[in-house]
Amino acid sequence: MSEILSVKNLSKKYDLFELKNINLSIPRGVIVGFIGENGAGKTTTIKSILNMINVDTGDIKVFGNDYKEKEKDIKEKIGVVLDNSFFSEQLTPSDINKIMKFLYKEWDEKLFIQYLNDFKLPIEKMIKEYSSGMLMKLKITVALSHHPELLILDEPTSGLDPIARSEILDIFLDFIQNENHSIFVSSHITSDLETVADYIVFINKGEIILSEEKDKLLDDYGIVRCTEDEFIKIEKDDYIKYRKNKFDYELLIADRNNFKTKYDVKVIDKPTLDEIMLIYIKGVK
Amino acid sequence: MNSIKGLLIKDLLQLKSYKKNFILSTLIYLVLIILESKNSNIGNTGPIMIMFLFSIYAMATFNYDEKSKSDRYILTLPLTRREIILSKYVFCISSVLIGAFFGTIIGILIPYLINNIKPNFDSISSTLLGGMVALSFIQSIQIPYIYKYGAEKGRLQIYLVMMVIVIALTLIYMLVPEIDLSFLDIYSHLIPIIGIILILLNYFVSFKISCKIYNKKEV
Amino acid sequence: MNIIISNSSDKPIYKQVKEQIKNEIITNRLKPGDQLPSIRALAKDLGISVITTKNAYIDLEREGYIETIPAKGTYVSNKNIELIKEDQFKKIERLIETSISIAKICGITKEDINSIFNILWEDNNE
Repeated sequence: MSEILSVKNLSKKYDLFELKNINLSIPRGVIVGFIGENGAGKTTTIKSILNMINVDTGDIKVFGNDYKEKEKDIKEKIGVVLDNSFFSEQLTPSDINKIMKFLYKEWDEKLFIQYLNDFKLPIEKMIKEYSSGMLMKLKITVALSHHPELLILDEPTSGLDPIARSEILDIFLDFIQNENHSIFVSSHITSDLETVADYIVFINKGEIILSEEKDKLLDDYGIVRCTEDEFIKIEKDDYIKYRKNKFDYELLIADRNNFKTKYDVKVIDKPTLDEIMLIYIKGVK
Repeated sequence: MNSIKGLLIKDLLQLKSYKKNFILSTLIYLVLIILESKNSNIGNTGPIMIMFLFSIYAMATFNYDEKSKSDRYILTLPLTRREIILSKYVFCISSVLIGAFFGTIIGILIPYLINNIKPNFDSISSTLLGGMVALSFIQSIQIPYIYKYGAEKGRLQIYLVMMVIVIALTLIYMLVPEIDLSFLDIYSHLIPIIGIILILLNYFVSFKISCKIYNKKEV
Repeated sequence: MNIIISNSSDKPIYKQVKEQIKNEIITNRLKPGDQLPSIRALAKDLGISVITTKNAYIDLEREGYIETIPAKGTYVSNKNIELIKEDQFKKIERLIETSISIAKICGITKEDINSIFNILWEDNNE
């Protein structure tokens, strides 16, 4: 199936920060988790994908189209949730419905109201009286109610309690029941994406350092914990990066089954995305 | 067209929560106008005060947008930057026109009801035109300013600019000896046309500048 | 159908899904011709990613337990379950034969092999 989003050689330079040669390719029917520390470049990348900032270089195609020719057509079919930016707090969901009816050709009032009911969001209450979990569900509801094919969400789970987070992950899985749909979701809380994401993209200091199928990361990658004596015997090619701690060495390896047969090390753990990210960022080769 | 409609509705709905404030300040204005009407020709200042009030409320929508950072969110919707700016101009210009409409009614009704003065349509229409030219100047400077520096940051600067203009005009008025302008009287029938051309020119140039600023802006 | 997923297990999630569906089929709780949930629906119900579920289905299909009819759905294969079991038996026999021949070379006794087998069997059940 064709790719829903492709980013080639995207670069953008600011005084203190730089996006360096970002490449992304998102197929249809999947959830892609976009992971990185705060300030790693997640939001800037998302803004570039949405044509909100002028990039220095780069070729961005959404649904195979270019923003230069088809900006409106593209945005008709994207649902967006931004961090810290939405309609003003004086508005109610019912107001938003009145506005969106004119802004999206495909705005589905019935669907919107149905979502509001499903998520128990009061339609006549001002946004400023919403809790953060309710607000996020409202933002996602608004993003879903014009039948988008691609959802782009910046930090949708940050600051939410576990129940609200799991409800949101459920919405994601619901959305990709249609195999033409995809989700690109950024988060600095990796555990949220560990369950539902199909692919993981890591960004660090404005560069994508890893882009991999999630199952591969969790099922094949491993964290080796060993002593210095054991570490010396391990060939450089057999690990990605290592980190020297006070009492042990931590190695990130790409294939824990192979490693097991080659070396006699006691501790080879299944990694979490957090651990992979940590060793990638803090470790050395 | 629908996009602009949607954005206008958004701005109107944003003001909805300020309904009480708005009604209250309009009432205060009315009382002032009524008190004032005893001793001066209110047909002149009343409509202008109402127009300014409406314009201030229209400009306030910039602050609401900024506070909730909704300008960023709006850019993710299927809208061009040009449409976003155009809708603001339509909204602000409408505020002046609606203000002028209510101002006229007040300017006619109050003197009539209170002092039983028959409306002087010539005086009212020239007041309205003058007010609209002045407001078009102010908005034409304010809007691009806000796009450049933001509603909060730009606010102080815009007041300073306005003050400088007022002081400069006053100084000119004071320093320049009275000139006999009666020779202009033969052109008096052109004044409305010149006024309207000035208003249109102000907004047109201002709109172009705003577009230029906003196209480069990264929100 | 019961599928229980452990996130703390070292076993990949797709394998957990695959083995549990296989178990349902071999124990005849899922019968030949029964329809399985779609990949996406199962992913949603289990709260796991689509690709994980897809990988489980791919493996099951390759091993002959299930078949996918395009645009219709995925069904438990009509292929005789006994035959599948027999295949598995042959596989096990081959692996045990290898173990026995290695044992004989190093002089490991039948009792040793049995106890290794018992320990590993118990370990695996944990």
